[in-house]
Amino acid sequence: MDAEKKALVFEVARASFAPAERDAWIALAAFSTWSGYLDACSSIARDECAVLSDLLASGELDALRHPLDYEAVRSFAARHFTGGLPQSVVPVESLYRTNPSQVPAYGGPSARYMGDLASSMGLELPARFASTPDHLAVEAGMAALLYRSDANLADSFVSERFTWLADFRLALVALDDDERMFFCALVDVIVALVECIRSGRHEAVSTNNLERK
Amino acid sequence: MSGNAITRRGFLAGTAGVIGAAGLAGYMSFDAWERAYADDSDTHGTVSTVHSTCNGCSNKCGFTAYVVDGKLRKLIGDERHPMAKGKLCARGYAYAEIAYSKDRLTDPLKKNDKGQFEAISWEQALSEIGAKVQQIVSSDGPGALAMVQDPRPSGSYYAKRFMSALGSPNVYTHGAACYESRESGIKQVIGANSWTSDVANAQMTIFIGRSYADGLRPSALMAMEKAHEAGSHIVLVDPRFTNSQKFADEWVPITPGTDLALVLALCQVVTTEDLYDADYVAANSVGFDEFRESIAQYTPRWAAEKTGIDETTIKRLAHQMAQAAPACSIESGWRGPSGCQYKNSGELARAVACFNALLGVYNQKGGALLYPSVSAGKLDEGKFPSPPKPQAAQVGSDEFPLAVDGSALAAVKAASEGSVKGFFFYNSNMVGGYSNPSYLAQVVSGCDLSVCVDVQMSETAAACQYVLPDTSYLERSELPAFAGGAVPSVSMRTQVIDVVHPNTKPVDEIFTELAQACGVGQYFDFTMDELAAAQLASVGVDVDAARQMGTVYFNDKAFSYGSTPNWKTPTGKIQFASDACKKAGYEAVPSWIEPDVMPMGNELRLIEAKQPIHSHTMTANNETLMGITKKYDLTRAWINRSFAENLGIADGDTIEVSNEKYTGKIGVHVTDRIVPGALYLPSAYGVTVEDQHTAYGVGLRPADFLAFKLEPGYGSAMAHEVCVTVKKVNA
Ligand code: SF4
Repeated sequence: MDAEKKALVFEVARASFAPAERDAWIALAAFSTWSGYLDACSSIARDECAVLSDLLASGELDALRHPLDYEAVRSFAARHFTGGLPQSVVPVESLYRTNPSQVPAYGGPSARYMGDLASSMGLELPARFASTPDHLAVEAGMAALLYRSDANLADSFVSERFTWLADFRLALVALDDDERMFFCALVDVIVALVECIRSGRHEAVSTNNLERK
Repeated sequence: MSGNAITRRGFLAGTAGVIGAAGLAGYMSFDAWERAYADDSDTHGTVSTVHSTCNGCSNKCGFTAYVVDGKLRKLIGDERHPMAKGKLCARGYAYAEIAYSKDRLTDPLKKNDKGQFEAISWEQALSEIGAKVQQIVSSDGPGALAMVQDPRPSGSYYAKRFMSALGSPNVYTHGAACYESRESGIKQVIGANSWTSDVANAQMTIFIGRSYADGLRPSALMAMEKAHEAGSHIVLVDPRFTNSQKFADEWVPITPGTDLALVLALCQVVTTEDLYDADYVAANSVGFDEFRESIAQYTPRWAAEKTGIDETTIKRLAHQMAQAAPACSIESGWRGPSGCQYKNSGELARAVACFNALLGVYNQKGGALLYPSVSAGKLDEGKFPSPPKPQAAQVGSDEFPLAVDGSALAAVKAASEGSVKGFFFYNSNMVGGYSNPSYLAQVVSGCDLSVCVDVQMSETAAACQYVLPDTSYLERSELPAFAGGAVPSVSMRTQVIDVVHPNTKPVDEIFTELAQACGVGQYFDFTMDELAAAQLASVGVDVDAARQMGTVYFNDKAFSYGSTPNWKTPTGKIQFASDACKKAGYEAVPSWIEPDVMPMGNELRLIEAKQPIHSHTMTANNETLMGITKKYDLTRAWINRSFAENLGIADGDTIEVSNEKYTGKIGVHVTDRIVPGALYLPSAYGVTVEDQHTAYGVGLRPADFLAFKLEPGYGSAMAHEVCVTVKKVNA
């Protein structure tokens, strides 16, 4: 896969799930940029991700055809990406990936890992995510950076990191909010991509094993 | 650059898109990281220790927190802290989870047109609240604003200062639903709000509706245990056999609402049989003759009929106490029958204070001790200018003149009548249980302005227009907490971990910014650290040393046995008769008052009390504590065996509890450990905000059955003046 295209997919996810910034969002949602994102999705689907290709063909990602405007993104985040409400779906991995004996809470192992990872790589996390380094925006930002730096490491990171999105999507889709499908679709793209990368890596490992034999 | 961007440390935005070889060399997979560190978190990383104080209840026990790489790993109760004495309770450990709770409020919220909360910026929240406050002040005066806060070191100071700066005297605590009648009644007699029973050194102590093992304070429970082991006679008067019974000698079951009759009869026995300390009474009191004359009517036989306690037991208890005097006392109670639960709670508190006075036990070893306290001295007016004293009288002070702290419920009444227009809440869930929750929610949400500062969505926050997110107690330092005691002390709450959610703020900053937004910022031109240092300096303590030690004692102010207290009453004496009570519509001397309701036929009086693992609904959303609740089925209602058998109800059945206010279903515990005529519900359950994922929908909330009515003169909630009926579900 083209690493830059994958980087773009994660870059868009980063911008969509982080607190919306007006100018940045307007620039992202501009026709040329957004069509670049859609092209990247199509190209990844066509070249090597059948799951994503099926999703696109099924129309389930149609919500992505037209990006929400800034006000819609801001207001969705204000209702759902804030903590402590019945309709809260804060996109932080610790709140979704726990073993059954654990209580979902901020600051779980994924947060400690992401904090340690950033610091061992000499990266500085945005202050607003200092205590939630496993926020989807940070993980997606990290994936984008890695794809632009070392695609193999990026694939490794992505295949390990984003499996929690399945549970996050369940929470998103349950919201009583018309705009939720846009965010679900953004997540669906990543979930499909992760599935392809994981199965690709699995095949690679199997082939490797056969060759060794 | 975007505030969301990940950057290479020390590099500019232009190079942020790619990670260099050195950075990539630092990459480790989750799998590798987990093997290296995740299970080993106590042994790698930087360990630091901080002395701070718990917020699981109002005891504020001191602890040492062990923090590894910024993450809280361990709490150990501080030996030097007067409440903890080296131990924390289960709540103290578990409540620390609040810092990382999934249900934490993370941003300022405002209700939209559909009544749903939306995150807004601090700037928007503050400017809108500020404008609304100024509008209310200019149209109705500052007396139309009220504040309810559950006292914590910084919260108490800043909330009061904020309201004073606005010109409003209407600052209240949770007292009306807790201690208001007790403190007010006791103050009428001895001029102090309370005493500490010297349980550990007593020959005998009577507890009335107070269970040290349920409404937990570690040091108090340790004292009780020590007394029990030393052979002190400990009597628990309670409609229920409580967890304290393990450390007691006697359970005296009593018909709820009649504790006053028992104490009046105890007074009657010691006065009519001349068992009281006549010299002490003569030297220290006024109104005794009137008291003696009135008390004669309250014979043990009369009290036996009221209380269900036999006459012989009443007489024996009076005799035993007289014999043990002065090394004995009736404990002052907490949120029990004298606190806020009955129409006669204030009178009960007065009667108890009078009984102890008859036996001359104040400040005697084993008696009732009036401990000294220390508070911050005068501060530099240039740096910390005092706001002018509010001119208006506190709302409720005319109708409830005996309430020492005022009654928050009186402010609710005023809001329902339109004279209070704006309500602030800090760390207080008034709506969730001070009286009938749906009534309180309706009044609060009907105000022109309602603002709640808290860490999670409570029933009160849910009723407000604005919610401002507080940091948790582990994420902030606070002002010094002064405490009275055998040796008065000051303890420090010091920040343990970094702020988890960057858009939350500590209470001192929130009130400072609110004051600025309301145009009274000139009274807040200092930091909390500056104020803490100045407060401590005023009593000769260095702030850094205090934070380092956790607790500092004022040894020169230590209590000594045998001194005569300085009676701070209007007469300067113990008042067996009180003019203020008479003026408020009571007899001058403590007298019998019937409870407001009495169960008839198949009715039961609904009583509620704490369990040791919860601080009412404040801890109900804690997964660990709720795990204990579920494991031991602790939400069950208790009813007496013989009553249950009559209705065909067996232990473990589900019953429907009902009255004109509410109907709900709950499992039942059928037991001999509760008197007939009462139904007990624990006070921690029945949370109705869905936002609290763990607590929502678990158990019943006693306050839902309660009507909004207030104790005359005192303004307390009369939380047990409520009857219900029960029936078996699917019978
Ligand atoms: S009694 Fe328990 S909950 Fe209360 S302050 Fe102490 S440790 Fe915390």
